[in-house]
Amino acid sequence: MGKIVQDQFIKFHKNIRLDMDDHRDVIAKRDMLIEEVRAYLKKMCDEKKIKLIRFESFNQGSYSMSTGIKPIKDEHDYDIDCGLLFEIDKDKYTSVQVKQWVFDALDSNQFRTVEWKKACIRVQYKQEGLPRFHVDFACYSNANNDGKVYLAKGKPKSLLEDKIWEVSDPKKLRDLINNRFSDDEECSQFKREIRYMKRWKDKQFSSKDGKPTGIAFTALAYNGFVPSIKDQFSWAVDINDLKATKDFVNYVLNQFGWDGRIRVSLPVPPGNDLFIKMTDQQCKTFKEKLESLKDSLIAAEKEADPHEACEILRKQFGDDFPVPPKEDTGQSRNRAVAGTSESA
Amino acid sequence: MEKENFLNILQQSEILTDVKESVLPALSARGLAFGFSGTTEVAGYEVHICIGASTHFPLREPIFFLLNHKDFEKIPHVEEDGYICYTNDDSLVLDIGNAEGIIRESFELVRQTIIKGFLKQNLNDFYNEYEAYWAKLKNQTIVYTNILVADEVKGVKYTRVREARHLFASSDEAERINSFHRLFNSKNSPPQFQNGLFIPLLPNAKVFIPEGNTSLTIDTIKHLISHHTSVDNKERINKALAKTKIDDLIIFSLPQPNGKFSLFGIRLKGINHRIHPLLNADTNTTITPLRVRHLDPEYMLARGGTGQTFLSKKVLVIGGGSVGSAVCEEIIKAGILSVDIIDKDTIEPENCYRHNCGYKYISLKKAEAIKTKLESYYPHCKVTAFSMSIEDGFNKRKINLQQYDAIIVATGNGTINQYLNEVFRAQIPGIPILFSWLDPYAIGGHCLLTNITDKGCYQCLYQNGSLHNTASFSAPTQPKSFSKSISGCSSMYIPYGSLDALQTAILTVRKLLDVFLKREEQNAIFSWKGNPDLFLSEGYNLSARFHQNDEQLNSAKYLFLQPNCRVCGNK
Repeated sequence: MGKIVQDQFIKFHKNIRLDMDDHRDVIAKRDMLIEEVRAYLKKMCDEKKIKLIRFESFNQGSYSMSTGIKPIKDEHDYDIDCGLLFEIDKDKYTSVQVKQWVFDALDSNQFRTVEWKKACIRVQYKQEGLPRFHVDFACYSNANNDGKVYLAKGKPKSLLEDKIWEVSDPKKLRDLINNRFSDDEECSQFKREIRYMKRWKDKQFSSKDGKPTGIAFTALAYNGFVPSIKDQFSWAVDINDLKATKDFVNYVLNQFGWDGRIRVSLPVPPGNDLFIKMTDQQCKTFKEKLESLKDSLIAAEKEADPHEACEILRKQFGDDFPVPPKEDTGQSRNRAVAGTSESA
Repeated sequence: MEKENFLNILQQSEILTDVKESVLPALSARGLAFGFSGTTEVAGYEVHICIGASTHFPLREPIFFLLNHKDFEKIPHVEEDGYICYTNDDSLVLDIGNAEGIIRESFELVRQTIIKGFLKQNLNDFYNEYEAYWAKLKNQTIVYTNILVADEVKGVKYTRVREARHLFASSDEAERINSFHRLFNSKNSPPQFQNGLFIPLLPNAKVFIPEGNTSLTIDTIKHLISHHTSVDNKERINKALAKTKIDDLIIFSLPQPNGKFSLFGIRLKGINHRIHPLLNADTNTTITPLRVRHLDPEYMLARGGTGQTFLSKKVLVIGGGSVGSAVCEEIIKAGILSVDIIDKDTIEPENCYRHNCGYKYISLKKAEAIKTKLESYYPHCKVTAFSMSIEDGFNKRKINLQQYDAIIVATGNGTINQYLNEVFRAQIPGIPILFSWLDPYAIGGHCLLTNITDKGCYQCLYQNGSLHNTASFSAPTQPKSFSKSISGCSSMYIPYGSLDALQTAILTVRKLLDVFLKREEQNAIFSWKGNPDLFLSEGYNLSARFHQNDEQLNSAKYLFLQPNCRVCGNK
């Protein structure tokens, strides 16, 4: 592929990647929240005169896997996933009970709202001078006889069967993704690919309904992404995100079954199908959009003029995909005279 | 081996009884040192066998004679002196440490030959080898022929070959008649051609088998014509023989059971002015049997590798350097007889040791030199030389691209090649184009087959913005240039050996044939890898592609195409 188009992919990636190091104030807020939970538990245990319930926190979600992207519009907010591993036996506490501690610990401030979610407690910030963001706290029981980790699920008003401890391995997914490719170049392209696809779905699906999740793309990429970092013919170094994306989209399209549905399992327990919530019609729409993406990628690959190629890509990936000006492109940049070793 | 040793081994082998030394004259006539005769039984008949050997036995197989062959009907593979032809000389390998085994097993082959003859299982062999039997007639002489075998009686032209007693006969077509000059290298004194006759005998004709060392008679030929030609052909023969002449030559063709043809002939001299001896008795006429040496392309090429598959093809070779000149010769050897070659350069002394035409052709234009050499080596080929650049060839309308079945580009010039690539795609899509070039210092060579399918062209190799051929085994960046001057700037050359050029030419012609035989049906690039030691010792860098093994190179042969190529990509 032309170097110019690849350069635009890299710029695109830079434009969309979410780097929390740029948001130290947000991280500071998260750490503060964790301390508030810790303080709450200490007070609670003291009052009840029981042994202090300890916990360990860790990053999970896209932030921990370096696959996070910025929200597409300002009104959408940043998302931090934080896991809390409580040193408790799941048989001694209910899942909602544990989530309730976190809810109660944090629901005390005018600058934030706290919300029950099925698999976490969400703290939403709407503070002046800070980006809009929320922190999702997933709560786990981590001192079980079977040695396993369980995620607390359910809300106070959920049906009984939804208030459960679900077996989980929260750090394993992060490790799987981060160790998927040992080659640095391949690993970087893999992470870029996940981000490209996440941005693509944000651009292509306006409402939440029927929008595939980021984790679904992450799992698909984990299973089927093939890096494209060298030219298959000449073996010359050729980091080709366009070809890698085209190949990956092809792979995703091949995952649709005879019934028109796409399935992919979370690669760690509980191994649930990450497209289960999509209706058949939504699967159909998703597939159509992927077909259109594939056509655009093929068209861009065939396009001799990088300006035109990037225009095609921008339509799929949105305005963060840069289009080089006309005068920078075309043959003018290429060498016109060079030494040769051909003879006959 | 000594006679006594041989006798001991022969007796141990127990193939014959009553073994005694033989004084058969045929032994010495056939260059054998000694022989022993004895008796055995084959297929219920008592046969007397003589086994002879040279002093080189067991390096040479023993020779067998059927002494009492006159007691039986004539059988194939047994000659007048009883010699039994039980093998082709070079179709056996002998265990020289096992002399007794050689005698026993070669006698088994002899036995099988005799049995097949007695049981009439190999009668066809008479006709498959009819020319050999004809050649044993008394007083025979040689006629060289360039005759296209047909079902109908036809006129032929014949003449003497230089001062020799030999004759040349050809079908009555300009190209075949003119082949005389090429075949016998006679530029001067155009020969006087006379009219003779070609007579095809009927398939399965059980014609007489000539006895060795006997004379041919007019009556035998009359019988041959009256019994073994078609009714229509008899009419044509009578008409032809009615013409007055004093000298005549007739070439017969006999379809062999194996599908080939035997040719043999007669010459008649001293014909009475009015009546042809084949129509009426004429005691003054002498008849000479003619043994045919085939010089027709159909026969000579059938003995080569590809036979007559490509006789009708015509190929243009652009560039007559070390690769192009070797390509031209290999194309012709492959049986593609029409080749056009275009090159503007002259053969210089420094070209001699790698160009197909050596010192003999110095100062000649390369195209002319190639034509001159190849037409003298390969008498049926037609080479047209254009001593000009290909651009001039187009401008002056000397080159009509439409007439070629394939074009080989061996200019070694990446600039011209890009231009030609575009011309061919526009003007002759679908016609196979093979770009052929070398990498420096024996690291390899390449052949790009293109223009047979839509995608993947020469330009794809340069679609990288760096003006570096992506198929090359040398890296895009090098510490120094490859051209090196031997005597100043005017004669730049890129060093490589004749072997590299030849290997690249072989690769290219192989692929050309593969395309014609539809073994390659898609644009692809083929490369051979050499030894990089010299290249590396000179301080140059290899490309990543060089590190692919042959299997990897082959499996990536279609991957050179660039979807956004400015020539073959989407516009």
